[in-house]
Amino acid sequence: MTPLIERYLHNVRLSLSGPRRDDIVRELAEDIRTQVADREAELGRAMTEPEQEALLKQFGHPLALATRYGPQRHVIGPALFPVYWMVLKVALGGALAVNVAIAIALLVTGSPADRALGHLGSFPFTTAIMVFGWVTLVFALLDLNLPRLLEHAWADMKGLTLPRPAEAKGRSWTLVAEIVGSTAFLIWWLAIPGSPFLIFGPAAAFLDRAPIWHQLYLPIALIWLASLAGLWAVLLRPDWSRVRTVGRFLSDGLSLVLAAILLHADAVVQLAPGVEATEKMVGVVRFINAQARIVFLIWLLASLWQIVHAIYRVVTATSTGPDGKTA
Amino acid sequence: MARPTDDPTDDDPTADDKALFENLRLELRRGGLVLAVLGQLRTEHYGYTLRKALAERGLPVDEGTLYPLLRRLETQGLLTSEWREEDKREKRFYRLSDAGRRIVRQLDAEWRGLNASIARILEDE
Repeated sequence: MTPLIERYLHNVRLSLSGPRRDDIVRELAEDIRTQVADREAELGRAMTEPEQEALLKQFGHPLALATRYGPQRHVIGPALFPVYWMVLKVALGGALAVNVAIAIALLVTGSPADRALGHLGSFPFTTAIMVFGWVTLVFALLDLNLPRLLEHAWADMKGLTLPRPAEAKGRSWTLVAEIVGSTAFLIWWLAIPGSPFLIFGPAAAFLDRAPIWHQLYLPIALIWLASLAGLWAVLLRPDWSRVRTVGRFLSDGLSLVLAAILLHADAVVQLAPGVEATEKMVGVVRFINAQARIVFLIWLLASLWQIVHAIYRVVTATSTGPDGKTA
Repeated sequence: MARPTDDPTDDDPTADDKALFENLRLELRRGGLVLAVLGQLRTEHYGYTLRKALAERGLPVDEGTLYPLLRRLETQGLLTSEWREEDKREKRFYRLSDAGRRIVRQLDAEWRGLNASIARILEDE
């Protein structure tokens, strides 16, 4: 066997995995040897290097050849990829919106401009990678379980369910309730700066909000306002189902990002200015911050669950179309 | 307005047409190739002679397609194989397993039915 052929087979072997690779290379070597012997008998001389190259080219690139021996692999298959792509775009867009809002809030609250811009500049390397990683991980897990999920969805034909008028009416009342609740929250939120009592009650005498609140105050107000606008849009235009779906993803994604930011904050509560930092008071603040961290963790997990559930609903609804055919 | 049928552009496939045809041709061939390999292995062969036999019957197949396919069919239990010496050389011989024979009979009937149906459909056009 010539050095060229040996080099080729060595590269095929390197690209293969599993216990069968020596056997596969042995078989390929035998085929090449037979072809060379036949060709040389025909020519009445040894094959030249270009002739050997032409022979090996028929087998294909070592990596391409080795790949054909393995099972077909993908992280996210064609059935889920369109939904994955849409969710990824919405999640990245939402995360970017939050980052822009935080940068604006930093500027408005008098933080140095380089800090605000640095926060925004770090987006592709921190938040974007995190969002990409989480979304991809969730979809990879969904893809692994897709046949089971579809079977489960198809068992009660979830993808075919049409809203009955009574349900549509019920949904309107739920929406109205959501709008009332959201408006009440927004009014409460906007009133907080003038009255910390609205958060802490009587404890406002010795407790105050930590700096993270000032950074997130405006973004949260804007997000809530946008969410309220979305609810009105859905109420007035029930046919905008795409707006509803995208809005739900956006709202859940933003909620996830906010929970993550608050979870990473050093503290959410601090002693009010002028209050003596006695051991007891510091202990109380530390206890409240520890409890708040647990709440933020639960919030983060709940938001993650909401996203997974929303994706599941979209997948099962789009994968089992109204004609009963799976995508 | 409909284009006249004698328009010379109708007979000149574009680069896109060629690429599309090639994709569809490979898709069409893929299933047929499995049946051809299984059918040919009713008689025992090793890779090189199998390729020659297929080529002689008008179905050339490159090594990079054939050898992985043989391994896959063996993993699926349709083929059995063994290393054996022939002409003072060790070769891996393949043949149909019992399950492979049953499957080939079913696939053969399916292929003929499909062929006849497609022929009827194309004749109608």
